[in-house]
Amino acid sequence: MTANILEIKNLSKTYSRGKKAVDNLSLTVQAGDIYGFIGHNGAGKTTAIRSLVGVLEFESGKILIDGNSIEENPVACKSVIAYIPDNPDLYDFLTGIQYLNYVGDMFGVSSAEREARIKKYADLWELTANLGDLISSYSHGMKQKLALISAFVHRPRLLVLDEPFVGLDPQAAFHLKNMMRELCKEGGAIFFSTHVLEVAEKLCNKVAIIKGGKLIASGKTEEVRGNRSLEDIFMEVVKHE
Amino acid sequence: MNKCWLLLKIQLLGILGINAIRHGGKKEKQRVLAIGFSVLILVIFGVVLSTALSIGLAALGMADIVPSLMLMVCTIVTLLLTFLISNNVLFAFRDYDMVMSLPVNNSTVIISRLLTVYITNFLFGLVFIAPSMIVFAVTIKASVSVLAMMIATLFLAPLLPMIAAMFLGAIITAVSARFRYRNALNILLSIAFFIALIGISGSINSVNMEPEQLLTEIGNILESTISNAYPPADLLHSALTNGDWGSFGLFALISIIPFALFVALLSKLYIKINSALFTSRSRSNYRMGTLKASTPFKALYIKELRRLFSSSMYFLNSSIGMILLIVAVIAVLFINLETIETSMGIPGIMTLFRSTAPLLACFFISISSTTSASMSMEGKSRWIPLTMPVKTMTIFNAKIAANLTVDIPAILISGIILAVSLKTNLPETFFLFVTPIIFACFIAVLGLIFNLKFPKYDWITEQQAVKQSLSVTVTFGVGILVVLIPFGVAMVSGAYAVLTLVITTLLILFVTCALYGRLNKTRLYL
Repeated sequence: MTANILEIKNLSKTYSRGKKAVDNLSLTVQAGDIYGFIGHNGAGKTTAIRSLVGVLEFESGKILIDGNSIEENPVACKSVIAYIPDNPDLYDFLTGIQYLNYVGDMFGVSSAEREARIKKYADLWELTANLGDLISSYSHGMKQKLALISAFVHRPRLLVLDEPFVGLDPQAAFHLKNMMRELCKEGGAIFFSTHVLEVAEKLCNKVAIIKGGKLIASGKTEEVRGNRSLEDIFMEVVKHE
Repeated sequence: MNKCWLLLKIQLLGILGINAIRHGGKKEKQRVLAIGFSVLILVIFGVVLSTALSIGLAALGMADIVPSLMLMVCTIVTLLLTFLISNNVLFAFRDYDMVMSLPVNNSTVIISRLLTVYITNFLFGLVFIAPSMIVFAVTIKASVSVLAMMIATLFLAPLLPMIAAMFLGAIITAVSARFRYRNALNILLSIAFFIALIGISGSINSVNMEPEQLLTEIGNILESTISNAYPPADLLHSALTNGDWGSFGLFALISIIPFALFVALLSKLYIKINSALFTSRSRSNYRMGTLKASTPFKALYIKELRRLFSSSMYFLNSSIGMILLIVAVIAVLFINLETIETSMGIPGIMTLFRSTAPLLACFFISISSTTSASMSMEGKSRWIPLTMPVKTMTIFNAKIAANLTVDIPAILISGIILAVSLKTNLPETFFLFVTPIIFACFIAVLGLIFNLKFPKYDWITEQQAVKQSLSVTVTFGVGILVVLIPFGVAMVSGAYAVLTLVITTLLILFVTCALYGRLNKTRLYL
């Protein structure tokens, strides 16, 4: 195990019509970090996130997860990552428990461990009674909670979330923040994108601001914002860069 | 009417790929052009087939039955094909909420959705009926009045079978919607109706007559069969041969009135049926119990099977070949095969039939590829398998295994039935099982490769991924060719039919291994 859980080195990704979605992006996420990834719509956050979890090809650069290259050893990388996209479309034809069991099987979680973790998180998010129902019957928020439980079922080293707080009620958001802190205390790390700057400011020990695919600012949250709020910094960066 | 056109236009922009050509990237344009090219080949094939058949019948002095015969063929095909997509067109489509929140009547929504099916069926009818009409018109030197009837027939022909199929589909959907296991019930009822439809179609064509008599009396037999089986075809026959506008008017009414009645009836029940379909029965009483762990492959395989059986559209369209295979071999059981050789006077025909029988199973397997749509069916959820810590090949193997789970039981049952009914010897029996199993592996791998090459992830209705995707069409086309070429060679070579089968089996095995090796080098990305 290395202290650097995620290393992105000079990542670039261009789409078919020549649009550079991510341009020479480099950053490092270490164990214990809650790393906020900030940028306006179309800044390249989702493209970068998809590249680092191994679901999107990129032209140049290197991504290392726990020391392994996502291109050369994707299975080893994915076994320590949990990823939840901004709009988690799950398998509607499965029940909640079938989906969680499926994820448990894929990550090789023992029966006892998955039972304990599912019970813990499903009870916390008041989803236990609904686990026997088809996912198609779930509301958007319930689907998001189920996706988050599936992420925590296999105790990932790196949790990658794309806009995790959109659609969650205040109570669920509170529990999620606590679970994120808990994971980091246990030696994991979290990398997540958000539009909610107040959350980033309070929750993250590190932040990165991206604009037009390029990294504009990054580092410890207090260093990036200085004496001002993250919102002020963000607005200034977006306007002037 | 304007609103109906707007709703239809939105659907056609997606179905015909117009926006993909106008605004899509290079890859998307290539995909749409490839679909267009495949459709063009099918159209040419249909026109040539219909023209050749019509000219042949005209040369035998049977020109007057050509339009009604083609009408009946199109009716049967339209009935079966529309039935397979019926519930997915009208009910529980993905943009239902958005469409129903617009200021339009239920009947406008229903008509707009029926029109997409109508346009498909109309174009299909145009390919098959129009050439026969032209041959008929030239042969009988048709008057202007008859020409007008013929043009109107092209527009009227698809209506009745389409509405009949939609009506059956709507009944099944409405009944199934009341139950918890509605998908399973929908699949079972659909299979039962489908077999009943095939049975009815089959009984129409079966004539109890000696083969010699059949050849000389074929014209009269066809005419009386069509008249008895499908009265609208009889009306059309009477209208076109006698220039009888009365018969034609009746044919038009029989075609239009059910359409209007169906729309009126469904408008009343539309929201009720859709609400029942969208209302998931949640019990909300789950209690944590023991969870059984299994391997990633088993988890993926079970997920694939659950996906297949969760959708009557996906299951019926990708597995119908296996149901047809069982129906076909059961039908063979009731034919007295020994009399065919003597009555037809073709020595060795039974030996030829025995040695080519495995290709019959292969024919049905070629229309039973679950893999040709299995990647597309992942749709917006495809981020899930892509983020799982498993080799890409494990995902592919699970999809192939699900396809074989559908195929192999039917191959084994049909092999046993064919071995008994054809009284095959040991080597023939061996190939009755081995050739179809190898071919099933070939189709499963081929389907997956084509689906990876031409995926359709952005579907709104499952029909777009299952029936309107290039991968399904190409897999079917290549599969049929791989069956028809050795079948043709076996028929021509006669004595070398067994050798042809052996070589074909080995070749398919070799190609399957090569394709599987290619699959092994594929990486999956969004």
